[in-house]
Amino acid sequence: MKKGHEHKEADIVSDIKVEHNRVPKLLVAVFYVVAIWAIGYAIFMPGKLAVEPAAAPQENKGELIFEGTCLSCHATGAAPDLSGVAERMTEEDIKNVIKNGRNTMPAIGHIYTEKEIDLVYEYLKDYR
Amino acid sequence: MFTDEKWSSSKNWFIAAVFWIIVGMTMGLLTATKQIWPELLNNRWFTYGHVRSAHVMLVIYAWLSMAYVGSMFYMIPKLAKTKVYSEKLGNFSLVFYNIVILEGFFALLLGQTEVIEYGEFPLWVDVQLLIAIGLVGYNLFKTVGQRTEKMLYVSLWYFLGSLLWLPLTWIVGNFPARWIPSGVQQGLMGWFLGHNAIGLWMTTVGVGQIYYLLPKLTGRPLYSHQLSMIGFWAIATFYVWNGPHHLMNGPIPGWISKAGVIPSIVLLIPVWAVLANFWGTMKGSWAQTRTSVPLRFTMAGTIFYLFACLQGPLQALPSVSSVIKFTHWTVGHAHMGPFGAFSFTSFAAIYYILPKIVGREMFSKRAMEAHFWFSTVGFLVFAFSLWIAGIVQGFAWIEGVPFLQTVLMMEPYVQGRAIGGTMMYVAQFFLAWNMYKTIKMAKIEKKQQAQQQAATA
Repeated sequence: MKKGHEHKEADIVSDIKVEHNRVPKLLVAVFYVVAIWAIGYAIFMPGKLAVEPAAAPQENKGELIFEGTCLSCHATGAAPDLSGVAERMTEEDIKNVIKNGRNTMPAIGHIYTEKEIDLVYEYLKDYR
Repeated sequence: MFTDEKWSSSKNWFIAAVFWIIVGMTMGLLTATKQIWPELLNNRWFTYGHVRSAHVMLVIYAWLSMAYVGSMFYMIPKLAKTKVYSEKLGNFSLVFYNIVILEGFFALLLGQTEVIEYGEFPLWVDVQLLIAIGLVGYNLFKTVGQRTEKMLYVSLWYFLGSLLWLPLTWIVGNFPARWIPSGVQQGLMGWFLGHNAIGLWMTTVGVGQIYYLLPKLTGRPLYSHQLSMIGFWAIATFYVWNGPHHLMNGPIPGWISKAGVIPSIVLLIPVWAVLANFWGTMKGSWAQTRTSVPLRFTMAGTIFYLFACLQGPLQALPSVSSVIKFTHWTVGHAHMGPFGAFSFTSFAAIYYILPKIVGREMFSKRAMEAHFWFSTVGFLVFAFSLWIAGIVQGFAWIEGVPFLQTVLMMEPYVQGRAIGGTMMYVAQFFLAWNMYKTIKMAKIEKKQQAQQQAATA
């Protein structure tokens, strides 16, 4: 390439004319903004979302687990309806099924704490 | 056994590419349809996971890559003012490459996969594909080596760079991961390939195509040499760092996360530099897009490139990522670069190059128009369905809406995506039919000319 971009004579490369127009000012401004942002981000930002160490206690955790997990089968016809299940089975039996599974239902006890399973049972008691 | 007819490599790579866009997009449409009717073709070959990965691998490494190689087999010798180093080798590598792709396709349908995005082929296919890419690269580098033009035009920088970067990212993404401890390290290696297949192959060859096509199609000089330099060196320097933004908010150290976010935003520099160069070149020529379909495809491609590269950097930010990650949004974004931007420039390249090779215009202008409008409108319907879906889905998850409910909420959007996808799919048949007719007519015309000459002589 020819040295010195001041004179605007175009080069011809492979029969294609290549001009030497200046970089638009707006673009130069964008370059600087991006570069300054990058340095600032590198120094001052954590690079990921700050997550609170202990999530706030959820009042309706039993319901959330029930809807998010149990209903995936028990509301789709893949497994029996659970309305009024607490009247048909004892507390111990229900918790046992959740922990160890039964027939086609997988054991899910290892995913949840004892407390969480209690909350699911609490919710099931009033589920009609 | 293999012909060394002038430009035969370029033509044959294009033909194979268009064959594969049909196969690849059939897989894509099947994926989309399965989200509406999950039972469709539910046998051991065509499960959702098999079909989806086959779609991704085919459209990228079969359709787009073959179209790229086809354009390079024409553009590189033209720019170097020489002929292809070996048309025979070009045709041989085409056959070899296609066999490898076929192997990969069946491997995926059989359920063999590496579970690396954009690198799903199993190891035995990876090795062969690397050899095939090597053969193509060797041939094209040799072509540049025997050039009679002293200076290298911008497109050549991009093409030669890409021919080195593709094998590099392929090696890093596919091979070492099996020997290092599993977990996040493998994820990072995989995303090195996942993002650089886009950035240092799809983007860079596509941009090289545009640099070649624009001055040829408009007859105008390239706007600025300096912008070309900024664009090229900035992408060559920064792109390679983008992988970690795919693991944003994941279990990676903060500094790696930042090392992924910052280059993602800095990429605005090469993207805007390149686009300013293109649009500067276009000044006063925009009216030509009304009549010239290749030019319209090219410019639509640059516009989709701009939008893909506005979305991309924003998506890399931790806050944005926390909403849209794992949603339908990503799928819409992932189609904008490879389809909206660079399939479009490849269509333009085919429409520009094929007539030069066979010596006659494209058979049907109407089919070209239909190809453009079905592709564009189809893509917009497809993409906006997915983007809206993704935002709805992302916020619903944050709200804690039960998962099953969020799945059911997606129904209309998934249908919209399939409708748009069908239009994109139909469009490609106009391309295939038009190419077939053009090549056939050219052959008939040549024969007639020869007969006439024989008769008059």
